[in-house]
Amino acid sequence: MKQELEHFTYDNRIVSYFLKATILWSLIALLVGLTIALQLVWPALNANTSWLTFGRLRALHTNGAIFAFAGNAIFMGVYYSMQRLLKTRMASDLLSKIHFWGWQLIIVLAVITLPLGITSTKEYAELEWPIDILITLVWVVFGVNMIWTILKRRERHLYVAIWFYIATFVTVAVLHIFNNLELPVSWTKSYSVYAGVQDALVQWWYGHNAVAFFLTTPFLGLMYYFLPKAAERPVYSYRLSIVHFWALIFIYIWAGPHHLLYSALPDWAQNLGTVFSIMLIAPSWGGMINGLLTLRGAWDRVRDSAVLKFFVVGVSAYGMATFEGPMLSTKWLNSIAHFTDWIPAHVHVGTLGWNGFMAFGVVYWLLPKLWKNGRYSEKLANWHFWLGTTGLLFWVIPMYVAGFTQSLMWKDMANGMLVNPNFLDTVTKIIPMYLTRAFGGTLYITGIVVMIVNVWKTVVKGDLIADEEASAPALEAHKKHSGEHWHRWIERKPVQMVIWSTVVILIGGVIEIVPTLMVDSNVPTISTVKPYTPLELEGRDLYMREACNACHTQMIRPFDNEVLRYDPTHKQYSLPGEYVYEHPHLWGSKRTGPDLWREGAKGYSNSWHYNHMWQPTSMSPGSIMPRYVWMFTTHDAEGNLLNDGSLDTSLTQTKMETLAKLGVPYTPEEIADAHRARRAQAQAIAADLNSDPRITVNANEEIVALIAYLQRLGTDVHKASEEELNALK
Amino acid sequence: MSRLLTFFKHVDGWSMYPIVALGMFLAFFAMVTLWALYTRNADMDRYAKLPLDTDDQTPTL
Repeated sequence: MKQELEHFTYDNRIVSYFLKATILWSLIALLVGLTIALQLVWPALNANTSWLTFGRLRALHTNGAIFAFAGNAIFMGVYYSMQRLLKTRMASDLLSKIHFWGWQLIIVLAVITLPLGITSTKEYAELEWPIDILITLVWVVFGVNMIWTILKRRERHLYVAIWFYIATFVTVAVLHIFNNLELPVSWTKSYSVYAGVQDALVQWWYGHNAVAFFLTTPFLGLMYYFLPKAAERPVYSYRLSIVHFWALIFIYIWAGPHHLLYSALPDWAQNLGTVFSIMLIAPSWGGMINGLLTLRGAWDRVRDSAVLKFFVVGVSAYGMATFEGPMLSTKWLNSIAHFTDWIPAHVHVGTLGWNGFMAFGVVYWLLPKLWKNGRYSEKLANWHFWLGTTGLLFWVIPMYVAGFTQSLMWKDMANGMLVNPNFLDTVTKIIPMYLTRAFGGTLYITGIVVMIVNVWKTVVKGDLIADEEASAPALEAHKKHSGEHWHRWIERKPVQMVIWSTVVILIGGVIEIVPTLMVDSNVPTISTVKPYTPLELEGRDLYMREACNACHTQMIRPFDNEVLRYDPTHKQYSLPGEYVYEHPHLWGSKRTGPDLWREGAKGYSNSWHYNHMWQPTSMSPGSIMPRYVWMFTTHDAEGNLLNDGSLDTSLTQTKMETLAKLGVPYTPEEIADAHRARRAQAQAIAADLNSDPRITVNANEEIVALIAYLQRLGTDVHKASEEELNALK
Repeated sequence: MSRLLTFFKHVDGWSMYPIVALGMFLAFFAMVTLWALYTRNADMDRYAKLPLDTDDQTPTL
């Protein structure tokens, strides 16, 4: 019996919105990246302005690249492909629009708050709690619209790309909620409910899987749809794509601890991360090979098609990054690469190569489809491709060289002594590489400008096909019958698939995190480790506001060269029990500057810190650290106030009360006495500073609180007895 | 819930978890692979072509 065709339209307008947002935010996010890359060569480029400084802009760059550029690219591809794969219009145009404008609002709020220093400091999750809630709501809108669309589809089988979209939705939701559990202090300030080791584990469970389920699975979905479209042939092996999907989402979720090798995380959790990271090669390369082999018999067309060029380099970059990642998860290679510029190189092969090029390929494929009669130029698209590819190479190769250089210089020892005891020597050595990296970024951005010209010519001169007509027969009710293959449940019950995908990704998360959260013996406490004083607590919040953790780690690994460099007196590496009151942890992931965990035990004077923060090169000639002049109260020659660097203490007691709720042992008496205790400590530090005839400081300036914090760092453990420390080791 | 927390706090041998996890993965991987291998070729071919038959607006019956 012939089925009657139903006529309907695809919503291309929402795709066009996301396409425009993709190219707009790609330019902005990468220009911010270029700005901070140049600041690592010329730190004065921050113009002594707080909101233009590296620490604050770095978070804006990463959030912009991931959630604004890649995020909009994902939605662009998902909204186009899902409608066609399911042979139906999106279930609700209203939800589509709420999703689009809600997402742009989140990005705008990030652009405003991150430069203002409003940050939770958790990498790739820096946005504060009200925005986190907004993200959750918008994400739910996206998910509801997607699942609703699946339920009203006209195609029985859910193509594998849809599976990747479903996994993206459920996993990002779980990760976002659990990583961002925080207790508010005010509308713009909160503390993570986790502390120290637990916080680090949850953070990197999130951080790694943000890469996995925001930058990988949705883009794999796009690959499985747009690569066959561009190559005009089906995917090489649909069987392989099924194994690829389930194996990938099962394994990925376990791999987070590889970000914490040689850290204070328990060994069993580190080993778990390593094992699963190495296993991850199999599904990752299965997917890459499946993508590249889709071009079998069509390689000659790559020469003429900019879209296919972008896809081929994008998928190849995915292959390189997913080989490198597992290798970096081995303890041997990790000990070399971790905290060095090798890691940004690895990350940018993924983001610039895989995510960027896949996004650009999709944009160019969509342009002539969405806008008829436009002036789309294949020649300009090819120019973009070559500028982007050259820029990528100029970006990553110098950073690999810089990473190796740093690692070799840090670790170089002779006769039990460091060959390069001054960290700064390892910084100045790689400045030429930083400059070359900035040149690579400039080329890549020039390619984006060329793309914007191409899009402009197509969009302005063309006519948008806002509602594209289509027809398909209605979906017949499908009942279970004897002898049918058991995988049919996926096609019959998509909601069940959502649930099972969630179960699969939760297995890894639960096994990985619950033991560390629950088992006391995983984090042995140290009797001498005490909470910060009120002034030190305020100083720590300033450290977080300026995102000092973007360049300085607080984690001394158990290597001879690290304990010699960062704790020369006691030679003590970081212990888990030292971090029990750290809400959140500030271990960092990159050492552009030295580790600071034992900064207070190094014997630097208060005046050294004061002068260093006012003008870093006065204490460390050649330093690339920016000046932090806004933390000082300054006047001009006539005595007029130039900058008010007074510390805001209105929330000190609320902060202590919040931390007390999270288990930090502040007593009610200590909280009641907070302001007096803070003033007394600040006045003592100010008196010490003012004893230097070149310094005039008030006790209420921010710099005093920051010095108090820095001088406290890592000192508690040294008060512990030898017996207690030996027992902990 | 408190029973569950008590259970976690008193369980030893968490270091066995990587082995347990590896076993779980291998079992899962074997199951998915068998599923893929035993699905009919005709079905697989039709699924693989889904992205290609949507632009010409002809239905797949």
